[in-house]
Amino acid sequence: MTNVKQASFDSVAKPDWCPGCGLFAIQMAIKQALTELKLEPHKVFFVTGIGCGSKASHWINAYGMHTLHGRSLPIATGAKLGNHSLTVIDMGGDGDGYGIGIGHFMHTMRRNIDLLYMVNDNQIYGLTKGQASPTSEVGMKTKSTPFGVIETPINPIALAINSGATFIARGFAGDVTHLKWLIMEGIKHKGFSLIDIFQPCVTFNKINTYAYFQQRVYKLNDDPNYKTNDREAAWKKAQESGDKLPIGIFYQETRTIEEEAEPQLLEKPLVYQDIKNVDINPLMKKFV
Amino acid sequence: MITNNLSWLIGGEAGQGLESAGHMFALVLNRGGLFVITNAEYPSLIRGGHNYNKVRVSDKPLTCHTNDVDLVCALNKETFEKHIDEISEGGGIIYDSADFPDAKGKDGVNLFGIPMAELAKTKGGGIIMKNVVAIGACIGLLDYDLDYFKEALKQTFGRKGDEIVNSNYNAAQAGYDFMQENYKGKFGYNLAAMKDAKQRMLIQGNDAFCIGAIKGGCKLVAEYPMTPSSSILHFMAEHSREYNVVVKHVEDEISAINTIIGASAVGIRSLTATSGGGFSLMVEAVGLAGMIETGIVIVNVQRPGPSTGLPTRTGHPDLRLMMHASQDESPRMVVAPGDPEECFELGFQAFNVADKYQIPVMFLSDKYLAEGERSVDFFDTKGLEVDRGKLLLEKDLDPNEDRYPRYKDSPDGISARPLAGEKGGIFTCTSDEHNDYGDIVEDIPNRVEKMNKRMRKIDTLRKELPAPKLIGQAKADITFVSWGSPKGAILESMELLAKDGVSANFLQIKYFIPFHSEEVAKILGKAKRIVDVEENFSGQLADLIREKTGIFIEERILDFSGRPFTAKQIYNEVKAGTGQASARTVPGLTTKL
Repeated sequence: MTNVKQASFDSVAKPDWCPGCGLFAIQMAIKQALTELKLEPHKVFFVTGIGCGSKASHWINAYGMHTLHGRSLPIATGAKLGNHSLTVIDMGGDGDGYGIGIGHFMHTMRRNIDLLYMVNDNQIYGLTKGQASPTSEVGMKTKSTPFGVIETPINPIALAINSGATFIARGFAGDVTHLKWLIMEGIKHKGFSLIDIFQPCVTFNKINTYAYFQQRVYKLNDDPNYKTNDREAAWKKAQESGDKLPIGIFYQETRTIEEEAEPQLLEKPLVYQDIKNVDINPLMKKFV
Repeated sequence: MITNNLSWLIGGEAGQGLESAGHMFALVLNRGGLFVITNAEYPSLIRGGHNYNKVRVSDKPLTCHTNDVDLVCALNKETFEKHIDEISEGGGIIYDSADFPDAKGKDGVNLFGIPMAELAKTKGGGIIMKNVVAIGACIGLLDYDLDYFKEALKQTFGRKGDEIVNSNYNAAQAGYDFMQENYKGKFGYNLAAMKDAKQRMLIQGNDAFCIGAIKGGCKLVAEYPMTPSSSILHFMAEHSREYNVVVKHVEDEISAINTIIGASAVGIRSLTATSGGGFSLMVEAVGLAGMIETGIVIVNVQRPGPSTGLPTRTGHPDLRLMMHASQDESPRMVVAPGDPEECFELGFQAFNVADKYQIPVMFLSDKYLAEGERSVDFFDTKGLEVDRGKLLLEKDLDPNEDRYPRYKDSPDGISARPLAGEKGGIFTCTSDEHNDYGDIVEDIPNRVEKMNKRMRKIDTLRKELPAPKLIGQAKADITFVSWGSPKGAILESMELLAKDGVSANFLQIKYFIPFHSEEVAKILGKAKRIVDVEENFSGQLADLIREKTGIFIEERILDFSGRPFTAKQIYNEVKAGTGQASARTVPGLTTKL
C-alpha cells in the first residue's frame, strides 16, 4: 500500500457551508478517519444524497457521487454490489435518510450490506431554508411549523436496532476525535454501519446548538459495564432524551453480509468479471 | 380433413392448471416440428375468474393468434358458454359431460363430451389431473402422437417420483383413449408431427429479452415485481448463479432504478424491469442517469392504464411517457421490439448502447409479446460483440493526476469515463449541472456546452442505428405504420389483403429516440394510403411522426381494449375504411389538428 498523507483526501474545491456549520467538523473527521485507516482515495466511493452535507462528495478527494434526495442508499448499495472491493461511504441529512428516504433506510439495514451510512442530523431542513425535519423536537417553531411541531420525532437509533443494522452509533460534530473514532470503527465493521451525528445548524436551528449538546452529551462507551452486543441495553439507551444524550457505539453484532451471501461475488467483484464471452447456448436449449 | 392448421383454446378458472396445460400442449406441438403461438388472457386474481390460453398451430411460421377457434377445451361451464360462439364452422368443443349432461351447441359445431373429472379421479391421481386428461383428450381427438405429451409430463413431474409421473401418464392415456374410442373420424381437423422435425425454441418475449441481456453482459438486476414484467425478475433470479448475475428484489421501483444507477456508475451493466405504474415511480432517476451520464437499461412491459388499469392485459400506451419522463430534457434511447427475435437482438443492443453512450435505454415491450410463447429458431449470435465504449482502465490513466475530466466535451458528445477504483481517474458525478470534473458550476457557457454535449450523443447514436425500412414491396396500395407486437397481426393481414388483390407494405418503427425523421419522411412521402395501427387511445406514434416529419396520418386503427390485434381485425378495418362504426377504430379524429 502506498503511503497516504492526509492531504490526499483534500479536494481542490472548498465547501460553501455557513461559517460555524457542524459539517466542517464532520468533514474533518471523515478525512482524518480515512487517512488513519490508510485508505487510498481512488479506492473510496463516496455517495451522498441532496442537502447541505450531501455536497461533501465534492469536497473530499475520492470517487464521488452526489445523487438525489433520499436515494443515496440504493445507489450506494448498487455501487457496492457492482464493485465490493471499494470502500463505500454514504452520507446525507436527516431529511434525506429519515424523511423522504426512510423506506430505503430500513431495507438497507435489513440487507446488511457492508457500507457506512452517516446522517448529519441537524433536526432541521437547512438547504431549503428552515423547515421542520423528521427529527425536529415537538413544539419547535420553523417556517413550515409556525405554531410548533406536533408530530413525534423519529428515533433513528431505535429504528436501526429494530431494522437489523449491525453497527449503530451516534456522534457529535462538536467532538471530532470521538467522531473520527466512530467513523473508523464504522468503516472497519463488516456490515451496515449507521452513525447518526448531532450536527448543529447555526443558521436555522436555534434550539439544538453546540452549547445545547455540550451540556447534554455523554460517552456511552466510557462506561465499562456497557456492552455493545446487548440489544436490550442498546434499546434502553436509545430511549434517552432530554437532559442526557448518549453518544458512541450503541450496538454491534456480526452477521453475514450480503456480499458474502451471494456466491456470484465470491471469486471477484462483478465489475472485474468477463462479459465478452458469455455462452447462451445452454439457456436456449432449455426452451426446446 | 384439415391437417396442421388449428386454433385451440383451453379455458377454466385460475387454479385449474391452465397455464401449464396450455404451455404443455404448445410444447408437444413445437417438438413435433410445428409452429405455434400462444396467448393467455386472465384477470388479476389467484383463484377463480375466467381464464383462457390459446394455442395456434401450423406447419408454416405464425406471427399472431386468431379470435376464431377451431377447438375449445372447456374445463368448466363458463368456458363452454363464453366461447361457443367463437368456434369456427366445423370446429368442436371438448367438455366435461358431467357438467353438461344435455349440452346444446350451435349449428356446425361438434360436441365432444368426456367425463374428465371422473377419468382424472378413477384413472389418474385425482381431480387435480383434470387438465392432464383434457390435454390427452385433445391429442386423442386430433390424432397427434401422445408420446410427446408423455415426455413433457416426465420432464415436468420427474423430480416428484415415478408414482406421480405414472398417474399423470394414466390420466393422459385415459383422455386420449376415450376420444379415440368414441370420436375417431368425427372431427375434421388433425395434427401430425413433421418428419425430421427441426428443433426450435418455444419462447416468450420476456425470456428472449433476458437471454439477450445475459449475452449483453448484464451483471445486476434490481426489480420490484409487477405484471407483466415479473417473469424477467424470475428468469434472471433462476439463472443468476449459472451466469454470475446478482438479482435483487428490492423494496420498490425507486430503489430498483437507483440501485442499478449505482451499479452502472462503478462500471457494470445493469437492468431493471417494470410496467407503466412502476416506471412512473422511477421517473426522477431517469433524469439522474441522463445527467451523470450513466448507462442503464429499463424495461417497461406495457399494460393498459391509466393507474392500475387492466393489469394483466396488453397495449402500447406508454410511448410518450418513456420519451419525456423526468424534468427538463435528458438523453435516452427509446426502443421497442415487435417479436421475440427482436426482444433478443434489441435487448442485447440495449446494453451496448447504454454502456457506450452512457444513457438510459428504455425498452418497451408489452404483455402480449412478453408472455406469449412462439416457435423460434435459435438466436443468431454471430456479430454480437460487447462494446464498452470509452471506458478507461488503469493503463489508460496517469496515476500522478489527482482528478480526471470525466465530463469533457468531445465531437460525438461521449466523454471517456474512468472505472471507479482506478488510480488517476478520480471524479465526482452530480445531479447538479457540472463542469468537466463534476464540480457544481452554474455559469452560462458551461451550461450551454454541457447541455449540448449530452444531447449530441443522441445525434451520434442516430447515425449508428439502422434506419427503418419497408417490409414488403416498395410500392403498395396501403402502407401500414406501427410499432411493437402488432407487427405480427399486420404481417398476416397483408397476406389476407393480398388475396383480395390489395397490396400492402409495412413500416415498423423500432427507435423513437433517436428518431429517423428524414428516412421516415422519405418513405411515407411516397406512400399512397397510410394506415397507422396502434394499441393506444390517440395514436402516439402517428402524432410523433407528424411532429417529426409534418406528415399527418389520418387513418388510424387504434385498439385500447387491452387485447392484442388479430390479422382479421386489421383486415376488416382496412376494408371498411377507418372512421367507420367500429369501436376499435379511432373516433375523434374528425378535427384536423
